[in-house]
Amino acid sequence: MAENENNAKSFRQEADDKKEADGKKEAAVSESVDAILEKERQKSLRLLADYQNLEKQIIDRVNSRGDKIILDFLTVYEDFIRAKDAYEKEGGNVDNLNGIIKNMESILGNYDVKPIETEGRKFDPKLHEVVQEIEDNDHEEGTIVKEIAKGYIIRGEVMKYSKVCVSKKIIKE
Amino acid sequence: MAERIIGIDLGTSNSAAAIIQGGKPTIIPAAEGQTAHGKAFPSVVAFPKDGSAMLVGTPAVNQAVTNPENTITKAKRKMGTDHVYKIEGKEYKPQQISAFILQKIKKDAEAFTGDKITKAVITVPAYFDDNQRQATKDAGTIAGLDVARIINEPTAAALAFGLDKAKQDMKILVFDFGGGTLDVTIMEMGGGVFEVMSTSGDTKLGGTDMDLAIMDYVKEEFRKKEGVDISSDKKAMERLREACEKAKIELSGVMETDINLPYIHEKTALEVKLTRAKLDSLVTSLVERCKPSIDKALEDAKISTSDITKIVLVGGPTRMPIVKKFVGDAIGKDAESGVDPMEAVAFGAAVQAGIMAGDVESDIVLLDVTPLTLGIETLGGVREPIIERNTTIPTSKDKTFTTAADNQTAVTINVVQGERPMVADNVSLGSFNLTDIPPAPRGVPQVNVKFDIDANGIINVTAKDLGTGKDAKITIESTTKLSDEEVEKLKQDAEKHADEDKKKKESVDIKNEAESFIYTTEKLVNQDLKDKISQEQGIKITDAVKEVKEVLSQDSEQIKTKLDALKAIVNEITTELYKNATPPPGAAQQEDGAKSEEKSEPEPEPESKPDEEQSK
Repeated sequence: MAENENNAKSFRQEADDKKEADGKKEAAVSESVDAILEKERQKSLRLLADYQNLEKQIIDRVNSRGDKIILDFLTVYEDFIRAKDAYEKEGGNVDNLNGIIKNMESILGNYDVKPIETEGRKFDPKLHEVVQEIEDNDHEEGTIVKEIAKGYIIRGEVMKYSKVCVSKKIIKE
Repeated sequence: MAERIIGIDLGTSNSAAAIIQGGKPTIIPAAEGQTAHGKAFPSVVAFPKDGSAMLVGTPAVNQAVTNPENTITKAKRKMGTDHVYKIEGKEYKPQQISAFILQKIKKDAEAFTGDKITKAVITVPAYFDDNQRQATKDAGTIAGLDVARIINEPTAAALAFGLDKAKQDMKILVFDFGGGTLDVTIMEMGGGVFEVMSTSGDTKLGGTDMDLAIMDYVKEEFRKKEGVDISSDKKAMERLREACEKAKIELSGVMETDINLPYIHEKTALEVKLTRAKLDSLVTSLVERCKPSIDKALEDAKISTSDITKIVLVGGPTRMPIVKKFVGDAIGKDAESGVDPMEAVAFGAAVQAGIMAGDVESDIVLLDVTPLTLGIETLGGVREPIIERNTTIPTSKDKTFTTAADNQTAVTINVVQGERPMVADNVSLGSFNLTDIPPAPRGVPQVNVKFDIDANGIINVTAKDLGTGKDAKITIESTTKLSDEEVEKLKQDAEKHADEDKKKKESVDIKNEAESFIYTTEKLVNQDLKDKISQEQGIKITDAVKEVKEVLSQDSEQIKTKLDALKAIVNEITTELYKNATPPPGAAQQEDGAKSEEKSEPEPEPESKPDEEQSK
């Protein structure tokens, strides 16, 4: 009888121990599942944010490809202006060339491309790059007196800085 | 959501930043848009004369001609020095200038991601010393960035190419050919650690020289054909520069291109055909100037070309087929491809940032190594190494030292960095005093000096008097600095002067040993054995001591001869004493104790050994 009681106690103890061990195991598993879930949740949040950022940036990326083509086109546009100037100097008829140039300017306008204004303007480091200072008392110091290379703005941002010479006061000895 | 960390390539001429997006690095564009430098922007800061807001990047370059005195370029080369930029009555340290560049990057990154950015991984050249690394970290802090890690530029480049994922040990050659400088680094990767084996380079060789060579050729062709020299025509030269740069880029993909510049001079057009072969012939001499740097890096790393497992190319000029082929031929294998060499360093920094932020999964534990040996100054100006160069960090090591004079109550800990055995030939990083050491005979106090270097290479040095427990410490501040050339020179000098240094150190060591032996002998004769030796023996020893003292300022051979003579006399007398002594009962059991008592005497140590007491 006593032996049976002992056995029953022992079984109960064993069952309790097992239950406790299982409980601990379950808690550990649940903890690790929670950790994995949290990690994955963070990851998906990050990926969602990345996607939304990419959506915003994709416009810039597409534009940047188009901008490269426009930059190449601008060299041809400038060559046409040079050609027109040269013929005009010789007294030639430049009406057709003017027409071509106007068409080109219309295309550039459609893409929101504008030339940066230079000569007579005050130098602005956010639009112009100074390649030389020219001594000159006729203008206020820092005024653009010569344009070396044309610059352009697209969609309100600089796509190519203009290169300029600016005035510098002559210092009398 | 875990905080984002950006990767920053803080360059001498140009800087760029990148961030992990969708598991891949993406370059953060500069707010002022794409410039001649691609997505990177010039590392230039300017303070306009009219007092308007400070300019960073391309706008700063744009006004440089009109305001050179207030325009700062290449501040990176002054990092870690006490150089001061004086601008309109205000003073700026190099790390403040770098901080302005980092602030711009932070602002651009916040605009690009829409998130607040407060953490960054910043790259530095492999040869940057601790001062320069600390200054870079300080620049980050000033800019409001918590610098999560400083990593070496070649390590970043290797990460960008995914070399950390290769499950094999490798030796990687990183060929970084920029606009104005060349850096060659050989690294070993194994067990999750990138270890720099050697660095070399040329600070006056870069892609700009190539552009000038092409321009000169085209200009000369035009002069020969049309009889017109356009050198003094700024408009024409500007168009020529643009066209030559475009042609150079095109020739990386095609075999020939035409440079056409209509109306370059009045009605005359410039028309020059440029083939890849011609381009190669124009730049060959410049490319070949890279060879000594590769040879030197291999020689310093003590390996041959066949030991190199991978080649990583960094910098715009390495896009040119001739440069790729040259490096490939020099090593005997093709370079890695797939990452824009202009963006590789920033990409790699972003990869490391991604690993730290948990955006990128990697098996690698990215650890760096100390570039130069760190140690302290000991008696006679001898450098005692504590942490050897190429030790993987974070790490901490300590050694115990003792005093050099009786009743010495303070010791100065002078922290030095370099490969030469004498302090004077190395660079002092800083010093501090440990005071209030209780007065005691020389050799008795024990001062434990501990070097602790964190993962960013920042050193904390602590000196502790083991008797009283009192300590003093220093975190190495950017007070001195080595230029890139000086770091390289230090390493070269160490090899060049190895024999001469060894002699110098031996001479100081023998002098230290002699002085210490004189001290011990005099103590022995005047105190410990005063009543046990004869007058004759006393005179003999005193005379021998006198002879050693007389030659202390002479060369080491003379000191050694006289010291050996003194040692022989002392040995002879002490042996005789022991022979005549009657052993007391149980003497055998006391032997160990006697030995330990002897050990408490300061032992002259000609050679430095870890865990042994050194005289401070």
